[in-house]
Amino acid sequence: MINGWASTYGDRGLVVLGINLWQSQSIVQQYQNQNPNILMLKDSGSVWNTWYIGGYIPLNYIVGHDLDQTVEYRAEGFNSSAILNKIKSLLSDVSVVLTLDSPTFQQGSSIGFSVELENHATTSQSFFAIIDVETTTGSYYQLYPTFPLTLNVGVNPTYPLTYPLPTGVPALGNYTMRVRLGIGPPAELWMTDSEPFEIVP
Amino acid sequence: MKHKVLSSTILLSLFLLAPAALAGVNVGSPAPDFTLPDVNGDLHKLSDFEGKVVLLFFWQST
Repeated sequence: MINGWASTYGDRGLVVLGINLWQSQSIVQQYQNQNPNILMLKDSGSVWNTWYIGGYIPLNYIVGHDLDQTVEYRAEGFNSSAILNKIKSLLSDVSVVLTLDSPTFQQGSSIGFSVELENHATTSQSFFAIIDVETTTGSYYQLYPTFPLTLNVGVNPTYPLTYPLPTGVPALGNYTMRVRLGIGPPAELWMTDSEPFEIVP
Repeated sequence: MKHKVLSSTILLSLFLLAPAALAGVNVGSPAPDFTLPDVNGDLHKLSDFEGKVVLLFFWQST
């Protein structure tokens, strides 16, 4: 069930994290194998103790999609219809998938990538888009000015893009490109996608 | 994998003991960040998923 949700709604921004109180490596691995769309994490107790309600209740939390990652829902036990309804109410009407042409790019070459957008709503959607890169120092460098977009109903465009790298710049190392969509001015984040890459000699 | 619905294979036995008192993280509050390892030992932070709707599913097998 949850594995199916993660598969069905993953492109629209749903991430399912299964957090296990670390009791058995083999059991966690077994569930990971059975549920490949869920990221199984192992907790030695600290997260569990922070997030639980009362004694030993396993909980289900939904953390919202905005920048401050607000807790939107919590429940004891598992109510599948209530959880799914809440998830659907939070999912973005527009989804974004960032794909890099390669995991590595040579210094002085160009970064090739594509951005796929899809409007899942029954009305046209207007929003802003920001494409930036987290650098080796942790700061962000915006590749293009923030630009507005409108997607009509059922539209699913893919934009192939190329960003030239000046010779000798940027530094060698690991970077992360991300695409962010939201309602402008950027007060509410709708959706992001990101991909790591490396600049090599 | 896109839009592919997989049949559910998740069968979890959960400890369900009565809570003594409600505590934990409140609805409407910012989610406390955490860092946890996956089955391969790679670390993941909750804040890595900024911009996503994250379902945290706490589970324990019997």
